[in-house]
Amino acid sequence: MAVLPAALTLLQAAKQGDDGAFEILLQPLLEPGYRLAGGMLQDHQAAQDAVQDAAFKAWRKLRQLRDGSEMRPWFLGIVANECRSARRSRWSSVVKVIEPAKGDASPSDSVLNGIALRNALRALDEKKRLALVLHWYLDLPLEEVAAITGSSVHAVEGQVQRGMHELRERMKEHRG
Amino acid sequence: MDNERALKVEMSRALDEVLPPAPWLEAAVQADLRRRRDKGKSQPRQAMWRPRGAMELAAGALIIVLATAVGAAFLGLRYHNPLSTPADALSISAYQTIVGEDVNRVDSSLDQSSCVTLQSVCPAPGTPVLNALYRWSDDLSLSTPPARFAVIDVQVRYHVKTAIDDLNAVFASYRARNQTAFDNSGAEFQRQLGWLDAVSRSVIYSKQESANAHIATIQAQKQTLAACTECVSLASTSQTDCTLALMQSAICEGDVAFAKSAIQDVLAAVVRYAAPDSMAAQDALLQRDLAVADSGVMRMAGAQLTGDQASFAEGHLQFEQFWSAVNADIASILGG
Repeated sequence: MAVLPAALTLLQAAKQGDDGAFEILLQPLLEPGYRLAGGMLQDHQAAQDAVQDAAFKAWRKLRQLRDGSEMRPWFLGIVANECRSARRSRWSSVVKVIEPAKGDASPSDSVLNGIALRNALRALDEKKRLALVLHWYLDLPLEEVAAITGSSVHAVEGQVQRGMHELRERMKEHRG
Repeated sequence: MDNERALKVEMSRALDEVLPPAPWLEAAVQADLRRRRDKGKSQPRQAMWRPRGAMELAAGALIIVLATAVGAAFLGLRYHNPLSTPADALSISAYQTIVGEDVNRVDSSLDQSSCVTLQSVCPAPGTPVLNALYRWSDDLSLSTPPARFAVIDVQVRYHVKTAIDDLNAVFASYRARNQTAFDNSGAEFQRQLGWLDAVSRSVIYSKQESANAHIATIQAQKQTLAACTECVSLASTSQTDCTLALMQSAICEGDVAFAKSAIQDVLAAVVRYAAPDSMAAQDALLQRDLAVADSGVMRMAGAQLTGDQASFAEGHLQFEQFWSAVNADIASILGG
């Protein structure tokens, strides 16, 4: 995947301290970053926090991005790391906004299905979950998923297949 | 294949349900970035230990006082026998059981306490967590740790006590409707919980290693510390971005956060993969120096929130001195 010349110029400018150039480069990456963090953490507030922290780290570490490298896999890799840290600290959610009270109405089948699927996804190990979220939810090609996760395409393909198999098995159990 | 596509669609739908569109995200990220960057640009850069004019004498005196205090603490810790075990010390497994129960108690209390914010209604904000922390503190006071956990026990007590103080400060600012104090004490409290979460689990799962395996563990920790360029920068007064004038800048906040994380990770690893008896004395010394460096960097982080320059300087000096000691301890373990 070649880097477009205009993006390269912006990248060079950003590396030299042009904050405006950095923001332009960052802008199209925020939505996929938010979806990645949301898929991993399943909490929109935590996802926003992860993207904000990743954006700041990307700004600080921009000089480490090699010339000719693409920014999207690099940035999404930082977001994935932020999600890892957020999940590692199980005690990080005391000071946060209370969830709105749930209504009394019985949940429909589709709501229950969604809950079961999210639980099944959460139960996957981190590598499989990350591969599935990147490939299925963000629709990224396997090559880019491999670049983000630092694995080979073959390994990513295996993680997607095994993750999908586990999801399917868990959903079968849920449906009885 | 159709089955796969259906599952993919189903998964996307399930995730979309918990992830509403975020049209505000771009503005929020940009505002946050600018806020963090501007903190670094708003103040002129100046050397930490070269105050000018009338402040010079006072600052010089402060540095001498700090150096003396830290030096005394350093000598007191390094020359105290690290392996003296009182007769009433608990066994390793009994101590791990107590810590495990306290961790589980905090875990359950977190499930019960949903909120601590100024904007939401909290009938008893965080009280179950506070009770669990008090119980933890009592358990630690009533028990004598085995030699393996003698150092980390002191540090866990420090973090539990600080977490209690921070949570009480959260409540006080909540009652006073003081948003700034609330945010600061809340951030401090989270910091303590994060540390306790990581390190106490290392205690629970701690296993003694063979000498060869332990050398490999220490080698890996050496690499972790070497990769922490922010730690190296913080430990060098001539290179640091963390001058007193810039202690609240984005760069300095980042340096302190990375250093905190590196020290915490190494401390947790050294506790989890315990040294064999033949290396226990060197290991205890390394843990002690890591613990003091940890307290130093925690102090810096707390001072960044409140703008307390004296506390920041004290934490910085502590970190600087014990960073060198930690590296010397590691070299001694690997060289011996």
